[in-house]
Order: sequence, then C-alpha cells, then structure tokens
Amino acid sequence: MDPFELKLKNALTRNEPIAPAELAALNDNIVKSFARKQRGFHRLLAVYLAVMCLLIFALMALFMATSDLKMCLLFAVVIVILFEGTALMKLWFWVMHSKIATLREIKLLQLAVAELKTQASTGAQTTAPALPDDADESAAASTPTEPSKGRLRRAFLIVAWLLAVPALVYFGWRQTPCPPQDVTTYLERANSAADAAQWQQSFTVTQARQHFYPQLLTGGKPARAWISVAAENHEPMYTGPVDTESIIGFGQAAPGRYVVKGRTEQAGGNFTLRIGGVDEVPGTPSPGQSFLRLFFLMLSAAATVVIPLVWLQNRWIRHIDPEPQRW
Amino acid sequence: MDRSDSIQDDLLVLQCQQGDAGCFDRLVRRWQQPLLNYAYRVTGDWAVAQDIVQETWLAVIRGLITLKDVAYFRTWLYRIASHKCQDHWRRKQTRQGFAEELQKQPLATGAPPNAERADIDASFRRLPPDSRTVLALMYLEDFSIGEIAGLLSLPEGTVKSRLFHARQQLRQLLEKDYGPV
Repeated sequence: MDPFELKLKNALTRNEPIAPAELAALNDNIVKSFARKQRGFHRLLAVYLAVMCLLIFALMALFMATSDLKMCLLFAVVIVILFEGTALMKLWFWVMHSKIATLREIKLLQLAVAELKTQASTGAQTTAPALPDDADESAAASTPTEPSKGRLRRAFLIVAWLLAVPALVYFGWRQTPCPPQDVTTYLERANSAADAAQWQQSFTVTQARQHFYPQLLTGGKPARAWISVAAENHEPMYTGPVDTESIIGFGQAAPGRYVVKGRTEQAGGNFTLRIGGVDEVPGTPSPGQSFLRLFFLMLSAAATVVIPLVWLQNRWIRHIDPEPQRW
Repeated sequence: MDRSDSIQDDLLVLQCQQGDAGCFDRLVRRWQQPLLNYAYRVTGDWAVAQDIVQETWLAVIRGLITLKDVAYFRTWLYRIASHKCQDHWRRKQTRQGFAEELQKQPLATGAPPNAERADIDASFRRLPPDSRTVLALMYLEDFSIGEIAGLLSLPEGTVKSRLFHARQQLRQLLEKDYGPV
C-alpha cells in the first residue's frame, strides 16, 4: 500500500458510530422480522401437514364409502400421492436439519483446532476451548423452569389426547343410525350369486310387530335384491330394492300369510335374505352420514395410534441425537 | 478478523439456518455496524444507509436457507448490500440526473476535527457510486480483488481497472480542492 492508500484506508475506517438506541431499534426490527418469518414458516408446515392428513382421511372415508371401482382407484391414487407429499416434506426437513447439524459439528471441531493453534502459538496453557453455543445450551437446559414447563405441556397434551379419542369415536358413532336389535324373524332365504331368476316364497307372521324389516346378510360384501312383499291375495305393500346396509321398514307386520317375490340384482357371493318384524325403524344412513361416520372413526383411529407413534418417534430421535433441534 | 471469529460467524449462520432467533440477533449485532459503515460510504447518507441495511437484512432473512456454504456469508451479505446500493442509485437516477446530483454533493464542510480525514470524506462523496463501491470494499472492508470480483459479478481485470481509476479520480479531486496530496 502506498501512503495515499494508507491515508484513504484510515479515513474510510474511522466512522462515527451510530447512536446505540437507534442501532438497537434497527436490530430489534430485523430480529422481529426473522422471528416472524420463522413462526410463519412453522405455521405453514403445520397447516400443510394438517390439510394433507385431513384430505387423506376424507379420501379414505370416500374410498370406503364408494362402490364404484374407478372412483376407488382414483381415491387410492390420490391418497398415495398425498401420503408421499407428507412423507417427502418431513424427509426434506430432516435432511436439511441433519446437514446443518453435521456442518455445525465440523465447524465446532475447526473452532477447537483454531483455538488450540492460537494457544500453542502464544505459548498459553493448553485448555479445552470453550464452545460458545454448547455452553449456552447447557445453561439453558439446567434452568429449573424448563422441565416443569415441559411436564405441564406433556400433561396438557395427554389430557387433550384422552379427550379427543372418545370424542371422535362418539361423533363417528352418532353418524350411524343403529340398526334395530329386537328383530322377530319371519323368513330366511339363502340365495346364490348365480341365482338370477325370479323366485317366490310365502311365510307366516304369528307374532305381530309394527313394521316389516328386510335385511341382506352378506358377510360384508355389497349386494342388492329386488323384493315385492304382499299379504296373501292382497296388493303388494312394498316393492323395491334391499341393499346390504339399508335399514328400511314397511307396512305393518300383522298376523297372517304373506308372499315375497324376489330377484337378485347384484351379489359378490352367496347371501341370505331375512324378513323380520320390528317396532321402530331408524332409517337408512345417507351417503353423507356414511362418509362422516368413516371419517370420524378413522380420525379416532389415527388419534389412538398415530399420535403416540409420532411421540415415541420424536422421543427416539431425541434419544439418538441429544442436540436440541427443531424437528 | 481471525480464523476463530470467522468460524464462530459460520456457526452463528448455521444456527440461524436452523431457525434460532437468538443467534440471528447475535449475527445482526455482529454485522450491523460494518454494514452501516459500508452503506454510508457508498451512499453518503446515514438515513439511506439505514434503509439499505434494513432491506439487506430482510433479503438475508428470505434467502438464508438457500445459502449453501456458510463460509461465504460475509461475501454474500456484502453482495446483497451492494445490490441494494445499486438499486438505490438507479432509483435516484430516475428521479434526477446524476450530474445534478454531483452538483449537490457538499464540498469540505466547516472546520472538521481531523482536516485530512474530512478532506478525503468530502472528495470521496463526490466520486461516482461504482468507484465508491470498489474503494469501500477494498479499503473499508478489506476484501481481496478476487472477492470483490465475485461479489460484484465482474472480471478481476475490471475490478482492478475500476480501483485504479477510482484512486486516480479521488486523487485528482483532492488535489483540485485542497492542493497536492
């Protein structure tokens, strides 16, 4: 450097320091912006995960509720894509933090080596260099308020979880009209899937009930039969379909002889048509009720299984990597 | 800045990338004053310098996670600040001609506590922004020619010639206003 350059350097490096209060205000604004952005980012991730999970549950409920094969395939594909979306997001987050944690370890080692070098060159007594951030963390961890805060939070979450699971089960259960329990059976007829021809059978009612109550017992497979029930030498009192899950009632089950004509419309295997008598019929669940019932039941299943699993997973991660990190 | 300081800076940046607001506070405190000095040298106005520094930090907040090698944080920070200064000059040029701006720059003012320093300050403020930028990066922030070239996205030859011309211009201005340097 020539004398002019030295003069220039001296002139430029000597600046009047800005007023501390002004500087502090400027710093605070910037740090607040950073904290705001971090909070926004974490909220965005939480909302993204929540939306993805809700969509997955909703689609699973639709998947279970629909009987159309093409729609089932569509729902399954979308569920897989959404599931991959959540898994990839979590994987990206984990990889990013692992990378930063590894780099941090390397930098801490470099710092230790640099400090030892400095001490060796100055001839000072060799001691382990202080690693600034670790000291802060251990100090923060040893403060007495932290564990009690954690315990309170954990207790609150456990209570919330214990309340959430039965609440979800209850809401799911409420969507289902309970099928009648006290049924007097008048007729049971076994049908095979190949039994497409129309059939006819008569039965006698000895114990009077308020309504007839037809059921298809299929062992879970969807089936549909078309029946027509009439008192002997009378007009039919019901002509229409009976589905696997339908809860319908018709007419009055008065004592006497009755004739039922039937035709199988759809069957995945053998099934039994039962015609019984009940005093009260709550009605067939609507598609919306079926969907909501499955949705709430799946949410309750998730709350029962997934939340404890995630909690255990996080505990395990903390166990294998004790560095305090924001997973 | 020795090796330990540089590594501690890197550690701070890594902590910030993990979202630690406390470390970001420390990082801001560490770099605020040098950045302000640099922005003031380039713009010649403390209020504008403060705005530029604030905009620089906001850009840092937005892009910190994309910084791949934390060792380049300092260069990256000054690169952003330089771009913000250029933006400021561009905005200003659209409002009023640069020549007019030069006219408005004050000459040596009052009786300064250190006459030589005040002379250089006044003449420095009359230099074009590009010259101020390279001189500030070289003599205020101690960047090497290669670093300045990377920071301003210019070839090293261009940086060298800009430095040479900036020194020449400054010397001429000083000689014109205050006599032989």
